[in-house]
Amino acid sequence: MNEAASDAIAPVAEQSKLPRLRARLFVKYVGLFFTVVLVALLTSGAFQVWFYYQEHKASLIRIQREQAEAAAAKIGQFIKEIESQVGWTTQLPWSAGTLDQRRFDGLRLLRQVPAITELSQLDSQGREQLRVSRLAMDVVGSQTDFSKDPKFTEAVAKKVYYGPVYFRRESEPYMTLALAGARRDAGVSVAEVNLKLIWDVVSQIKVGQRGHAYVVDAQGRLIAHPDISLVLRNTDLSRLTQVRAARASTTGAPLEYVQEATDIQGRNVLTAYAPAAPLGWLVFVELPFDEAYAPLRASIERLGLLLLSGLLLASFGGLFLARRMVGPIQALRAGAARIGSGDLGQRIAVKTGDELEALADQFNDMAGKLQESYADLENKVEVRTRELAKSVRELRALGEVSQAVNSTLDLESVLNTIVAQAVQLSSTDAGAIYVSDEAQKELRLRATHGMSEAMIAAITQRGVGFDEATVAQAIAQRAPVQVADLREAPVSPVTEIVLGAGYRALLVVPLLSPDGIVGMLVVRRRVPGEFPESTIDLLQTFAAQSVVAIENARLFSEVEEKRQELTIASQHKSRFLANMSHELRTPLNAIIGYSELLQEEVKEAGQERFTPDLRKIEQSGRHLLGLINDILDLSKIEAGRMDIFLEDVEVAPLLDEVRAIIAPLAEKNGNVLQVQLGENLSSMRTDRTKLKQSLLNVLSNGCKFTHKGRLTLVAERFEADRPMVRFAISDTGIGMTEEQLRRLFEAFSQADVSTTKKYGGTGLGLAITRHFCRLLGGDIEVASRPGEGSTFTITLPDRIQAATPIEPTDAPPISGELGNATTVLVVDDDPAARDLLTANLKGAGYRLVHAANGEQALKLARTIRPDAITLDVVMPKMDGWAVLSALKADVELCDIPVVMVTVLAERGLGLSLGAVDVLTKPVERADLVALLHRLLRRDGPVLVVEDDATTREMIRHTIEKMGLPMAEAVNGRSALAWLADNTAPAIILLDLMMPEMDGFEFLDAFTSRAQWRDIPVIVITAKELTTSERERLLREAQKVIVKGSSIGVDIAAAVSEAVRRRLASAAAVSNA
Amino acid sequence: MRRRGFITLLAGAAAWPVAARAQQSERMRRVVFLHGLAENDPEAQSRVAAFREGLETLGWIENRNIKIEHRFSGGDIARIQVHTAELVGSTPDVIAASGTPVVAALKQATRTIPIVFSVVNDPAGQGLVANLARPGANITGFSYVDFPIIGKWLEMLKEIVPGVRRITLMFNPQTAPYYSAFLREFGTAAAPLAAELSATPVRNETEIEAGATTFAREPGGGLIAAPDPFINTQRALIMALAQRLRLPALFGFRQHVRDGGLLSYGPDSLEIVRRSASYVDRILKGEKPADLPVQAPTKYELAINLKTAKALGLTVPPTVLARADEVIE
Repeated sequence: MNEAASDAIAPVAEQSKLPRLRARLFVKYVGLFFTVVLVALLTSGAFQVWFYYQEHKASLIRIQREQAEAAAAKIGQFIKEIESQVGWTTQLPWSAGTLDQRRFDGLRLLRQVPAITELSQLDSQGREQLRVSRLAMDVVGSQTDFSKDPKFTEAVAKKVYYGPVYFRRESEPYMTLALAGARRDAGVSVAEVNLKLIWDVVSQIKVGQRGHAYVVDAQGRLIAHPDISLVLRNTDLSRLTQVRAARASTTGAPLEYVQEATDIQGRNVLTAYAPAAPLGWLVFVELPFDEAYAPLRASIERLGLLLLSGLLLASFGGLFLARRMVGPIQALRAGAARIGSGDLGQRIAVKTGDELEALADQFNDMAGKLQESYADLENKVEVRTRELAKSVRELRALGEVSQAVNSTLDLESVLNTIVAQAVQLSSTDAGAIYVSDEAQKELRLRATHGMSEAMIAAITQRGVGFDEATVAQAIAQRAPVQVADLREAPVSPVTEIVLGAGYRALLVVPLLSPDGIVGMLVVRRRVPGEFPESTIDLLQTFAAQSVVAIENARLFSEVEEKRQELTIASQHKSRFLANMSHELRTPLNAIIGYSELLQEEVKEAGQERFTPDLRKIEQSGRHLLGLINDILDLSKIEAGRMDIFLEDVEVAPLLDEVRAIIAPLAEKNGNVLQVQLGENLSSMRTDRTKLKQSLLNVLSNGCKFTHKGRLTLVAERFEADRPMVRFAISDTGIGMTEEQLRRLFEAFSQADVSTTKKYGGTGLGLAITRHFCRLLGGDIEVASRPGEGSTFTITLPDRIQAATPIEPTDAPPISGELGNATTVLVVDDDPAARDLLTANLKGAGYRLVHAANGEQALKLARTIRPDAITLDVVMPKMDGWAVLSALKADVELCDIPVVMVTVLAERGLGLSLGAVDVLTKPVERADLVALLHRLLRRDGPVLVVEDDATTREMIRHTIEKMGLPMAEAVNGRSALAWLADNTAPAIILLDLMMPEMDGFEFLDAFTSRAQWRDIPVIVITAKELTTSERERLLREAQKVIVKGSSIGVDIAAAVSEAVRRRLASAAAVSNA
Repeated sequence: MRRRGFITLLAGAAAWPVAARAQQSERMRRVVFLHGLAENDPEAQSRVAAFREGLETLGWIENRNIKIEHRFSGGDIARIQVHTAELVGSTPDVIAASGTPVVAALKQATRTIPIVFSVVNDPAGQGLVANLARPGANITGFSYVDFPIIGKWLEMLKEIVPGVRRITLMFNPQTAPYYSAFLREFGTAAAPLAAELSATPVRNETEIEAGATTFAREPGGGLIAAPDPFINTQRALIMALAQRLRLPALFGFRQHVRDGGLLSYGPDSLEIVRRSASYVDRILKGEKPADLPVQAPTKYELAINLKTAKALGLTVPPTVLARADEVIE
């Protein structure tokens, strides 16, 4: 096909060259023929002309010469005639004859010879005796002496004398002719010859058509000429080249060649001459060039004409012949071009009966064969194209189906697509896809195409069982089954329905899975007949796709189920964790707490023999608690639900705590613990709890594996890409091998099994520690040598850039600055009012700080954390309400009681905004003091709200030890009840996980009551708090203490804090 | 086809101006012939015919390519003048003229129109041409006789009339302006002849008669009629007179002898006229009269009228007869 295309292009290109190419051959032939003829004619002509010229010239020469000689002869003859005539007169001697006689003779001579004008007779002495004249009077006996005259002397000497030519009257040429008589005494006859009469002779000399002869004397003067006027003019021709040449050459011998010269008139002539001998004259014969060469020219003209006509003939002949020759070639070329361009229908017609015809026949043959093969090819191509088109259609359909299968999990739409494509491509009228129900052993109709609602309903209702004829066959054979004509097939209910709907032919394709079938693809046709192989193949492909789709759908739904199960499982797990942690920790706390308690009591009671057992119990309890904590921690970490709570951590105090906790453990193994602090440790921002836990973990490990050794904790800052803090814990313990190092951080693995037995421990610690370190933006490393101890290095950034860390409220900082005095911040822009208030309050024994405006108030509130704030309302820029809102919005300041002091009676607003009370100016001193007193009195018991008895016990123990009264409530509700019935407690210790009303609910109710609002709440919980929970608690509670192993210490610390303040304030108040 | 037609057209168009030019070169030439003789003079008519013949042989056909006009003066000098003026005013291509006084008059009248003379005596001496070989102006032609011929005439007269002792030359001075040269020759020749020479100038018929009569009173007289147009024109009268007076007269023209003159010796005037046509032809073909030399006659003929001689009682000697070219019985 491509060739045809390129062939089509080639003839087009050829076409443009056609005229030139065509002309080329034709022109070549014509030109060739023409040239041949031209050359032939030219050469022959040239030769002819050349030879003719030569011959002609030769003959011209000859003729001219002959003519010249003839002319000369004639001239000579003329003179000779005269001479002989004159000769008669010399016969008589002088003596004889009378003068008359002589005169008569003379006259007669004159008559006879018209040329003689005068005849004079000289006697033998040269004296003139007689003169007879034609023109003048005769003279007789003049006796004029001519004896010296050459005409006498020469005549006597030579017998005849030819005198020179002279011109009479400058016009007429004359010659003197003197003849001496034969006898000595005859005398000389002298005749004057009028040479004009030679004109007759000369003019009659025929030289060609326009040539003439003329006579020139020895001096070159023209004597005779056909145009006598030239003679009479006394023309001097001596200057003519031919005359010069003739005079110059040796006399007598005529020229060997014919000269080309110019005549008198300047025309070019061919001239020859001959001398007229005795006279010394030169007779010239001239023939004009053009006449002389006329034949030559004629010949050349003839030649030219011949050439021209020959060439014309040659041209015509050439054209004709060339056309005859080129014609067939052109026909061949045109035919070849046609064949080349694909037009194979025409045949070349060349009937020249030679090789060209044979060539044409060959071309025709070729064209015929090409035609056949093209036709054949085209057929094949057509067939292929059709098949290809069909395949393309099918592929496309498959592609769509695949796409559908892959793009959507909506089984219905996929199956619909499949069945629609299947029906279309198989050129059937309707189709359906069934999905098998293994349980029921039947097929359910899932997708249809081209089926009427009635039919769908009918089939659905009837149901298609596995035992249906074609279905069973298909299942058995695991291959498509076709029914060419349902009428001839065994009847079944389904086939009846199908027939009833008008379908005659049926093709059933099972959807095969490796171990059974998942469904059926059915196509139906109204026209009976077999289904072609290709269709069956196609539908099998569709069937496979359908299987895939169905499987996908099933898988998807399974996956979905599993996912949901997993989600539920995960939720259960979380809940479990949350609950378990509480359930597990609570009894353990009891075990540990009571065992501690018992140990003290035993000590006090002096029953110290029970101490070791009790210690064991305590240790076991602690161990178990540790395990549980670790497990819970780890699972939280692995669930990714370990949060970090960032706060500013004073490193030194933290390390003190750590040391305090570890010291006993170290002592137990006889180890020395050394803590080294680097410079400028101050504080870092991180999760205090986790850091502490990590340090404790590592240190306890060190203690565990070191005996009578040294443990060193070095904390220092260093700079990496940002400020970092390094905690290096090294011990001089047993060290670890490489193998052990590798498994170090894996959960539940200790160095080896025996280690556990020997050293105890859960094996989770380091895994958790590592998690924690990484969570905090750092990492932990270990270096160790067996037998030489180990060094664990925790590296943490000074400041974590973590996402939204929770910033717990610190317990109100214990600032030693202000000492123990109760501090009140007085905010009022009016200095007078300020002073007034100050004076009022100073007397009450409070320490006072002033702020003149809102900003200052907030700044001071943050820095000195007053115990109370009096707040004027009307202030410029930031008024009291704004300050109040700001204070309450600030988590660190919101618990400072604020008393609005204002001229405005905005009590409700003030209270709603969180003020404890709103006083109106002018303020009664007593009212203010009483209010403050009331606020800052922290008398009262510590209310412990905790459902767990053991925990309560433990707490009670702690608080009683502090010398504080304690009240108890088992849950939120009872707590509320107690609050309602009793005076406000100094502080509330609140558990979160309680039945009936848990801590959150209690808090909700609690904080809604204004009178309880200022009671500090400390939450004690084992519950794993979510971020939001924590947030909330921190807003509403002073501090959150997580129940942990050090819960007692924490609680004590927190309570003493609060109480201290209470104590301090109480002292201040009582002092007032 | 179209190309051929075009070429034909082109060829025709090119040929057209050629034809036109040919036509133009075929325009009628105009030659006028001024005769000294009278129109009714047979001699004059013969000359006319001779002239025409001469031109015809050269391709000039009268009224086809040449127009010839003749004017006749009849020997009258006044008429000569009139004709001269007229002819010159009509600007012909060539003026042919015969008779010496005619040419003299023409010479005065024009210097540009070519003049071909015939039958003119002594053209160089008369100042009609610069010299015989090269006339130099617009006049050339064929001359008649030279003056020495008068010696011949005297000789012949003496031979035929041995007794002649007194010879006179009759001439019209107006129409024979050269008469003085004649007379000079006359004088030179008369001596050996032992004759008495005289001149008889005549101007009109009356004078002719008177002069002849006077001369014939004395015996032994002979008359030579000068070859001038007036005399020519009056030749009948002179011949009649000569016959009556028994005066032997010699004429210059052979025709006169035929007409009754005793004898003549001179060239053939008709031949001369005929030959003059060749010069006309050459001039018409572009040659200049200045380049055409004056041609003298080559033949001189003796004519004798025996009847007249008998009438005069003269016996012509046989030697003379033998020499005669024409003898009128």
